[in-house]
Amino acid sequence: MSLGNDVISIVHLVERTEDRKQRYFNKTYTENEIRIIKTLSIQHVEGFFWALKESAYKAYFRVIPKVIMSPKQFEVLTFDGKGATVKTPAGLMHSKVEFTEEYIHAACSIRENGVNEIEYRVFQFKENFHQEVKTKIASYQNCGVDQVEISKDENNVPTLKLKNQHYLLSLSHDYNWGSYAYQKQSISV
Amino acid sequence: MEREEVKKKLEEIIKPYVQDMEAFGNISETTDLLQDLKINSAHLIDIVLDVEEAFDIEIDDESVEKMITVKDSVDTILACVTAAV
Repeated sequence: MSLGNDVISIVHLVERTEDRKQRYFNKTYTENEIRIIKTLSIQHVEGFFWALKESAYKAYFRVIPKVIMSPKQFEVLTFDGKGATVKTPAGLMHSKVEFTEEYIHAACSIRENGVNEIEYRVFQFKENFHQEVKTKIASYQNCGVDQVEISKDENNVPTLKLKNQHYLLSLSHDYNWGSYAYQKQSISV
Repeated sequence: MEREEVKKKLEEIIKPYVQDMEAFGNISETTDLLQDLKINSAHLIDIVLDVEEAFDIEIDDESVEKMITVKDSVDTILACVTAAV
């Protein structure tokens, strides 16, 4: 079981000239992904694809730590604007995407339909990202902040302890946008 | 090209993408671009493109993956600059 999530601030996406866009594509995407992108008429498509790749990478990293992100190894196979499948060295990841005018967010699970078993939220934060994640989760779970703990292992992979139960957790932030995602089902540690 | 010169130029390139300016103020060779400077991974390829333009080099995919710390990045740039001569 694994999950990942990634948020990208749209206002901070880089504007690229046509020449630069081509070079970016060549370094980031497989030929198949470039074919898919050319069929899409979605603004900020690079942001979507990166969020999908990065969230899949995070899910993969949880299973096989210390792997370096290699964009082409996390290949978007299908993308319909709401969901995607991403091929990774560990198999397929199944993703859900949401976006506003301000951010793009992707959450993924290693299990088909597993993304429906993930609790996630995107929010604006001011200073202490971890503290605000804990506050949001406590509020959503109707419990005290003292019942929410976030810990990280030696590989920087986070786990959530909520009301004495442990859950797989993924965290992401970009500028003032933050997000978390955790598996609804607890795990044994 | 001297190592210090490469490092200085690299710092200028990454500065616009840095989200933790305090960490940037204490930048050293061991600084991790993503973990320490809080650069979003979405901008890593843009940094590589900026580096390629600034140093007139081409960095292959395998080398890109090694650019984790300032030291890694400087080493990669120097290797590419040397190879291009």
